[in-house]
Amino acid sequence: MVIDKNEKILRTEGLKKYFGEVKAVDNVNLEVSEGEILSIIGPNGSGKTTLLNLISNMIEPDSGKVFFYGRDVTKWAPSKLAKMGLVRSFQIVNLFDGMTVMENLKAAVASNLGRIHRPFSSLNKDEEITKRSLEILELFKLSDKAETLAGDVPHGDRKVLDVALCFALNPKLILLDEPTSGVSTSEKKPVMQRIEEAVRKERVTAVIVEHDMDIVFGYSNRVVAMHEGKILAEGKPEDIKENEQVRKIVTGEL
Amino acid sequence: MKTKYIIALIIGLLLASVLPLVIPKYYTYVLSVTICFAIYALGYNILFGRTGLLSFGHALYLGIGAYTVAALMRPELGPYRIFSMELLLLAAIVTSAIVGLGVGALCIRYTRIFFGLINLGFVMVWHALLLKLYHITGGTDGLPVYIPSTLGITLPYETFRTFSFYYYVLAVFLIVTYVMWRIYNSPFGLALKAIRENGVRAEFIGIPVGRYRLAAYVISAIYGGIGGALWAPLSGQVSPDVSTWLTSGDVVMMNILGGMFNFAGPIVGAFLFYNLKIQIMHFTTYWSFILGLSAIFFVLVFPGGIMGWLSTKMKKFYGQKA
Ligand SMILES: Nc1ncnc2c1ncn2[C@@H]1O[C@H](COP(=O)(O)OP(=O)(O)OP(=O)(O)O)[C@@H](O)[C@H]1O
Ligand SMILES: [Mg+2]
Repeated sequence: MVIDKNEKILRTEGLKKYFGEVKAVDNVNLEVSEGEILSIIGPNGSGKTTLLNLISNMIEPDSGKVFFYGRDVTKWAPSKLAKMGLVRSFQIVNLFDGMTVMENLKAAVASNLGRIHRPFSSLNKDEEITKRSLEILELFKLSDKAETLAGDVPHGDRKVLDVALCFALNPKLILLDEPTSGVSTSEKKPVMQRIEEAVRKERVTAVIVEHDMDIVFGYSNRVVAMHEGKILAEGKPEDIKENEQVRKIVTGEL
Repeated sequence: MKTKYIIALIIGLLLASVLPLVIPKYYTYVLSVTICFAIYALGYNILFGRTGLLSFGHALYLGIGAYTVAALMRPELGPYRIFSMELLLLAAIVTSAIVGLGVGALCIRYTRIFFGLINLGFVMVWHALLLKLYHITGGTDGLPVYIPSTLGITLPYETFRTFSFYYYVLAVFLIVTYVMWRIYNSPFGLALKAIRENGVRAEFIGIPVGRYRLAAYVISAIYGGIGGALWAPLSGQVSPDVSTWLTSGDVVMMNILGGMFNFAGPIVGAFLFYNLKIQIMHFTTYWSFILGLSAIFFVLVFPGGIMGWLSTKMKKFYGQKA
């Protein structure tokens, strides 16, 4: 794909998805610039996951469009988006549980290197796949779990692996859906640190969904607050933090 | 570990080569048929154990392979009759691949029970066609199958089914097993496993799941076709009995008994199941009852199949590295 650097890496135009009466995503226009870390916050059920589902074409929008580097990718299959560099992680861990942590990564790396279709070459003798997988393991501090089944590692590591799979795809834009959900409070910070480090090191653009304000403010360039499927406010972390409306709705402060 | 495998392989090969010299003729024939089923089961497992798609109609391809061979040998074809086993195998591969591609394209839109049942539907339609189009298929009686030439040589009729063809079947078995081994250990093999484990996530890491499921389906169809094509000359007659829901169910049993998550599982399962079946058939007419009971017994005692059970034992014995 020819990349036009003048275009926004991601842009949505009037995205809309209703579930019956529920306006899960209601006319969302979002822009993401290359290199930024954008956080999307909002209370439970405000439509954050649905928005990511629409962008990554997990579900089809009722109306609206998604542009990746200016190209309309609304109807692209997720596998095609992944190849082009638009990848996502999942709020509810979504791994290959019956495969080892290493195998999980190798599948993603082989896919990224365009070798996943090869039926007769030896996977284990492919040094490039192994090398890159080991790099990712190390980057996310999962090396000691390499040979453990993904279904058997602790929840915190599973969340990290879910994100690591995205990085194994060598992405340009990464959408992370609550990368620390379900992780114990004491573990949240270290998990987030591992992810943040990777984002900076691999120089990817990131959209991170969180509903915990404190976790996101530290490292985002920009924050978008959602409420009932709509963008309620957007701006610099400091400004959003001061925003009365956001404080009331998102953090429940009065 | 690697040298151990090679030694085991050499011993196995030697054993397989001298076996027909020492066992009764009938058993050489049985062994050859078993190997045909082992090929069928091995192919089935790339779909079932590897990709996670359970089909209840895979004997369709056993039938396609067998009938392709019989049809190309028909006297009506005159000078165009084909007797070369290599050409016949090639033809069976082509027909099963084409049918697999067509049927597969329809089936892989569905997963789980729907996938299984659509396949069952297809084998039932095919079975009915074999019965009804009797002027082509010979109806209930089926078609005769003659002795093919192997590598250009026509072997003596008397010992063909009970001796010489065994070696041919064994050789094909070794080749297709090696090919399957390569597929299992390739990036593509890992992709199929990923699809089995989590089809949604597989798509999101860049694997076009639909196309890969179809590829696995076609591979398994081809293996069924090869199994059927080799079986036809052994049996001397192909009839609609080869493609039924029963023979479709057999292959599921073989995979479960042997262990669907182990490469050798379907092979071991085919040997166990088929030989159990004919042994039991020998001494009682209630064979399906006894076979059913033993199947239940095996599944309860060895939930991961024989090979699954063995490999966990081995791992305990050798430590995690095995
Ligand atoms: N598949 C679906 N069918 C019906 N309703 C749905 C579906 N998916 C989401 N919804 C509804 O859409 C609304 C938005 O849900 P969504 O999961 O996008 O919220 P969220 O902001 O991610 O919330 P959380 O912080 O709890 O993850 C909710 O009211 C939810 O119940
Ligand atoms: Mg959510």
